[in-house]
Amino acid sequence: MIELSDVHKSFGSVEVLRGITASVGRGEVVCIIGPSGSGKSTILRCINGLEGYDGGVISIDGARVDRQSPGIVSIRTQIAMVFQRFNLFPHRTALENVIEGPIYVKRIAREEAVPRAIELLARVGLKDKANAYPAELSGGQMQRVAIARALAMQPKAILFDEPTSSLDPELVGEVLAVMRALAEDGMTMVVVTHEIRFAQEVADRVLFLDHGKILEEGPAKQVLTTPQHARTQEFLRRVLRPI
Amino acid sequence: MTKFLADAREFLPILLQGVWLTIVVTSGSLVLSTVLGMVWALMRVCRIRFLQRLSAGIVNGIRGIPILVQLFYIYFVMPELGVTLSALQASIIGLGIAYSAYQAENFRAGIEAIDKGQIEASESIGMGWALMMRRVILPQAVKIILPPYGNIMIMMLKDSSQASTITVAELTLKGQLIASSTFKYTSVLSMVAVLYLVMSVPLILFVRWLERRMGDARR
Amino acid sequence: MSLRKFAAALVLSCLACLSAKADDKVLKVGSTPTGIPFTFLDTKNNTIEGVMVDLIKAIGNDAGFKVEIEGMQFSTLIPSLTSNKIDIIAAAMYITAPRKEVIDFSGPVYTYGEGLVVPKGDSKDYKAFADLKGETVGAQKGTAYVEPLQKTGLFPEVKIYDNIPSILADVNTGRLKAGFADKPILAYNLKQGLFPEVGLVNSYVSTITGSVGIGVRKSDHELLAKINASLDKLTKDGTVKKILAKWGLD
Repeated sequence: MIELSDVHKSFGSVEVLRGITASVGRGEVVCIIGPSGSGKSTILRCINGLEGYDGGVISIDGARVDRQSPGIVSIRTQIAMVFQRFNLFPHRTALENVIEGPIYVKRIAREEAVPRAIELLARVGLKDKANAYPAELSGGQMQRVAIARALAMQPKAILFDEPTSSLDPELVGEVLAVMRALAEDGMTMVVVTHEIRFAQEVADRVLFLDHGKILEEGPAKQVLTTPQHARTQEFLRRVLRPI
Repeated sequence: MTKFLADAREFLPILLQGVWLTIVVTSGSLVLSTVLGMVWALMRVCRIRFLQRLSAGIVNGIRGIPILVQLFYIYFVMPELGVTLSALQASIIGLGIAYSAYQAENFRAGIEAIDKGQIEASESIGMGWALMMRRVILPQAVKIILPPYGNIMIMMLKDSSQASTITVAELTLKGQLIASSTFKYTSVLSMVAVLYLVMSVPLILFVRWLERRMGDARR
Repeated sequence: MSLRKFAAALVLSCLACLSAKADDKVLKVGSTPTGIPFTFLDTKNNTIEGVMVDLIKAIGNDAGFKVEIEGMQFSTLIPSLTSNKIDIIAAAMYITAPRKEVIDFSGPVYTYGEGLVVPKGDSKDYKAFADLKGETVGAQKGTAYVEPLQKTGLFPEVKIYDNIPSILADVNTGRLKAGFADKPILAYNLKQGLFPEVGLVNSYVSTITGSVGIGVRKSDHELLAKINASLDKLTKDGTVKKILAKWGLD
């Protein structure tokens, strides 16, 4: 469904993506892991057009992703994103955050959008927080609202950009639990994360990214328990046993 | 002191006529400068480079010319180019344009202060630029914009006195008239100063009230 | 060490300047840049010239003081004099009772009344204020014409201008229907051809006449005596007449 073919991207003189070729099929959960600065987030942001790319092709169900073209709006309504810093609208309640897209972008009637939104908030375990403002919520709660907001757009796929990296360790679990439930419901997900155990248990495939190139990829269990590439082995060793 | 009070009683009615015009000039130019300022600011933050450059040029041009010169130009020079405005029109338009530059910079600062993540979140749910500004950015920018806006209002109240140089009979000119025919400069100018202070107090209180309202749970 | 010496030298030279000023007897004279032919700014030489400037220079020569002419707005002349920013007023300023309560004047120099200017297209024979009933008229800030015009109650608005050329400019565009100011100044301006759409109304009869005089502070008795003595002398020997004639007055 999501196809990347030899994608290159530079920021100024620094080449961040050096020929990325990968694909994500419908219903697949793909985790991208790797050291900081390897380009993981950049890949996600190129997929939904938050960044442009300089070479290669990215396409969603055959439609080419081009940040400059007006068609990007349509792509963005089909591919949702959950951010590391949540990016909730602080001047809107949790419920209002979730109905913003459906009502103002998809032009769905309020009578239809609100009940659906409440259902989604229930699904992420926050039905009783519908009228709370983001400032009144914990990090984990905010991220779950963000996930509900993403789901409200009824997307074909959801991109997760280090969704738990800004959370207190105690709150990470509640967010991962929601993500796991989504995966089991068959959502197509591309997740950039440092949570190796999550990747091992939930992902179908894992991509290891280093310095803008995919050094290793394959079924999650295979890459994470028996990595072939020396760099992958080194990375996993450092992450799983830091001391 | 009693002499001052006697003078005050005699001059107050005339000065109050001036106060009325001061309020008219200030309100009119406030509205105009706000509207124009929003136009320049939106042009500056939109995605079309030509409009960005045009807005920057206009704002810098306006900021580079003293208000007095702009007023004289609109009142005395424009008639030679075929546009003859009354003194009141000229002062409202002149002050409105002059202050639109400061309003624009204030609005722009407020808009640009909003976290970039808000723009990304809006874009990622498919919002276009206009929808994003209207629903996400501007509502949040208002809180940042208001305190400087209040300061601009107070500055405009004082700068309305410049209209006196193009014959608008507002408070300053009325004061000068009384003073130059009675020579009672101390009494008259003191009264004028007090009247300006009295007019600015509600503005200051209004801004403080706004700041307090904006600072509630809606963070 | 040298910093202290420098500071000391600075203080000494300042004191020297101050005492030097007291010896030289240069008096500051306030005039307007827009009251031609009485006082005006000669843009070629960037100096203030005119009848009153020539007169005060001649008086100074005779009485033994130098003058420094400073241009300023008409309405600021008296406050500048009373707050010691200037020492003498030499401008087209009437000797009037209200003014005499605040400053002192020399003997009269020249007498005239107000003139009326209207847009050229207006050919009516205005004779008095009443003929302009209901119109918006204009006058200069601080002049003796403002209050009489306001007090008649005939005019819905008396617009106030900083200087006479502004009045003429507004009549020129037709925005002002009638302007009142010193007749000689209006006439001189129109003769220069600067305001082609303005006409001086010949049928109009002045009602606010006055004489122009040199102004000094009330406490400056000595200076006033000197000025009056010299003025007397220069009137008797024909200098005053010559100066007036030079600028086309009389």
